[in-house]
Amino acid sequence: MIFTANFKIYISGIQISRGLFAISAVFIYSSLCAQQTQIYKPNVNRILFVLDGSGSMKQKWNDRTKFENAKDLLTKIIDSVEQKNPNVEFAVRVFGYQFSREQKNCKDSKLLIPFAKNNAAKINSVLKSISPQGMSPVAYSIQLGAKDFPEDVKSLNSIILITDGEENCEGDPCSISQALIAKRITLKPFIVGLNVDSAKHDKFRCMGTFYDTQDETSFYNTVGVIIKQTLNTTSTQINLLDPTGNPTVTNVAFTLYDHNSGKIQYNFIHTMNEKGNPDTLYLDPVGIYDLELHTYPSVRKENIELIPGKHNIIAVDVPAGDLKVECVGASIANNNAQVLLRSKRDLKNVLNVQDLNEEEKYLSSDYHLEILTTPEIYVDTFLVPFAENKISVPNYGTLSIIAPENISASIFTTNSGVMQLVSQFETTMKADNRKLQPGEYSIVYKSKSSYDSESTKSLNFLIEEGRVSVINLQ
Amino acid sequence: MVLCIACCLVSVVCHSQERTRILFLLDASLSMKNEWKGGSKWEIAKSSLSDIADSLSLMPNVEMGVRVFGHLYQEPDKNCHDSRLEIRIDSNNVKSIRRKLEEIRPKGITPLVYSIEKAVADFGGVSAKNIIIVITDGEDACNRDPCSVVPTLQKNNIFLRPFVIGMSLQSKTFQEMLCMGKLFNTNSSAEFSLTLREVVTESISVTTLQVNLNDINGKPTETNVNMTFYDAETGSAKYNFYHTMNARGLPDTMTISPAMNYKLQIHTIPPIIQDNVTLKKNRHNVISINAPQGYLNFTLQGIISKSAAIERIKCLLHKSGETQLVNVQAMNSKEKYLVGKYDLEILTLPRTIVKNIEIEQNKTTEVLIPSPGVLTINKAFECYGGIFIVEKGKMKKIYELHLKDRQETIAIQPGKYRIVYRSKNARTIHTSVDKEFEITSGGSLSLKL
Repeated sequence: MIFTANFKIYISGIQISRGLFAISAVFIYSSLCAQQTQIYKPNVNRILFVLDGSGSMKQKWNDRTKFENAKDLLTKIIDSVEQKNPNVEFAVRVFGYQFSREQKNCKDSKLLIPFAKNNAAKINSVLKSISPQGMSPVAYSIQLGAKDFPEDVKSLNSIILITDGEENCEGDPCSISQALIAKRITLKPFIVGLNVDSAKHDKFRCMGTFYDTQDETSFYNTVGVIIKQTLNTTSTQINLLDPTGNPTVTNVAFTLYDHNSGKIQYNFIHTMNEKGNPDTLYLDPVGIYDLELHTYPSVRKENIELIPGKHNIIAVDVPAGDLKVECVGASIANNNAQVLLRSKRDLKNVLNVQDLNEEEKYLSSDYHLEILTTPEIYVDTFLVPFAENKISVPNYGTLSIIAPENISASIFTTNSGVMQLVSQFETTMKADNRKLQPGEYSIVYKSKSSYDSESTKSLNFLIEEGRVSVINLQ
Repeated sequence: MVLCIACCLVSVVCHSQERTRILFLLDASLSMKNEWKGGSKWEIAKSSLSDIADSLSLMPNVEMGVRVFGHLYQEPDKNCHDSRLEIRIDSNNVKSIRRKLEEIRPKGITPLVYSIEKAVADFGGVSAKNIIIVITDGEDACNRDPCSVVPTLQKNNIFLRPFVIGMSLQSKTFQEMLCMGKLFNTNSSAEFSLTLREVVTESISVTTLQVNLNDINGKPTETNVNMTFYDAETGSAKYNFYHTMNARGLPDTMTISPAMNYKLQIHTIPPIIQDNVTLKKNRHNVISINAPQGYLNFTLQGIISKSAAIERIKCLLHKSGETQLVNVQAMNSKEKYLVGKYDLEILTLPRTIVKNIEIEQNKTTEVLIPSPGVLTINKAFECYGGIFIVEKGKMKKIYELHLKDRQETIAIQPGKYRIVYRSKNARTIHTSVDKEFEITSGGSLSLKL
């Protein structure tokens, strides 16, 4: 019979010629001493004030307009921050001040003072020359404001919107703000209201962190707190919880992705600090994260928002347990049977391949194990969380076949009377050794050269753990 | 006793329309003169054979003939062609058989294999149930291989193995003659005549079976696989036969008891079960089973580093879309499967999944995997961590570092990976290291942590 080999399947689509390989088998040595600190620390903090210059800002707080109050207080705060912190830059954009309300100009927004160090005096003098009068194109101003920041990955950018009323140019400040966060341009905007009608608070809350103020003092304090928050270090702690709710689980690798782009941001191995608490991380506070904990299968927690300048605690339940398939014996080093794990809910995919006597972590669930001994052993098991789950399998025995001629042979188990093929092979006159699990087997064989099916013979034999069974096939 | 057997024979034969033609092959070599209790072997053989011939002559549809060897030349002549068809296969010849047997005197050697070869022509190519019954007391005297008998007969369309009745065979001779057919040894007059009767009964009522394992074109070309016949009622295994092509290249004929219904299991991968196999008594039965098969060859491409880690790469076979494991195939091996579509899970790192591989009749489907590279990780300290692959932007753990092993050797498919780890004793998360590395096919890479 002639068999033709006209079906070639190249896995991964790469067909590589032999010649290439001669060069590629080079010993490459690489050292991984380099340590990645992965601590987020900006070189500069940039804060953009978006100031409301619309007609309503003419309303009075005490004896002065809201606008006059706001610009004086801002100048004061900026001056004091700049003196204490050399790594801060401020900029000011004002809307609604160039055209009268009757003109209904919805593009009335302008960056009056761009980012620079020590801007306080300039801000003071520029703002003195303008007075409020027009519309409130809030969304439009935020959108333009995003472009006021120079391109600089080492900068932590914030927007502080100061306003006394809502958008009145049919813009959608919420979606503009969300796009800003998604693109990781700035922190979620802060909005400081100047006595805003409480019915309108929710509209501001959807675009950022909103504070309303009633007078000069509370305005001054609120803006001060916000600036301090943006300058503070943001820290994060990930608590991996055991069933009692305590953060005792550790040593698991995890990845933080940017929620919007899906990009990998950080990879860490979870660690306990000297005090036995989950060690603190310093993550970029800009953006929203997805956390993936690399257990088998992995655990995901999505949409994690960090509060800037604060210590954030992210808690995740990790109901995982350890699994070990134990096999002991003298020749255990030669036993390379692998253990395949599949979730009972996803039998089509191998979750992990584990070695005998190795312990690995899995989420508590029902699993189907295939242990690739000969014959294979199948185990369905429920993995108990926070426990060492142990499954024991016997070590193999050796079948040594001696045959005076070349034979075709099949080995069967005969559980419940049905002959189940374990392996089929052809032997030469050399002794043929095979690893088999302990148990009773039957070998069916025939001389390769015989034309007579009735010359088929069979023989039962027993394999004992760690021992050699010799069978002589006449 | 004789009468009773005759009744049995008659009752059995009545059901069969097929003609049975029996050729007795009788040893008349000098040693047949040796004495058994109650007479010489020759005398005992002659009288038992005459009695049986009487019984057979009463039955319709049965013909018989006698070929004798070792009776024409003296023993010292060592004539290896001393064999002659004395009575042609026919009905109504019992008287001539008796007369002829009386005339013959044993005197020569034993050209046993030669006689069987000549017997082929004695059947004259008539299509019937052709049976050879050999009566002999010794091995072939002419250095011929007794095992060549079965293929010779098969080539000449005689598919039933000869029945061989030995008279005081030495045990070494007995072993050597086992491959000639159905061999019996007898050591007394009573044992001989009983065996001869049983053999004749069996040969007349014999039920034979030929299993055709058909390929995709319906031709019985598939073979060399074990078959188990279970008693359909009790489920116990009754026969195991390796499916064999006979010397004519046809599926071999087996003798099987028709007394029960069978469940037949063909041990292909995956196995085929045929329920309700019923045989017609005293007939040649043919069962056809579709067992089209092809091969799967699973090999690594390129330079293969010698490493235990590479030898562990196995291929798991499932029927397409199903979860039950069909077979685990070792690397660089070729195995035979029923034709159809299969899904493969190859235990490379990361695992290689191949869906809907087609196995076709008589063809070899080659699955070529780029040879992995060997990654050796040397650790200056115990480490937690793992090896990751970025799949659709997601970090996927493909290997967890063994905490306690200071050195790990892993076979990994060519590609880019990340290793994330930190020392077991570290007290700050910022000692975590996240590093990229690349594996080339057949190459080796050493990482020092």
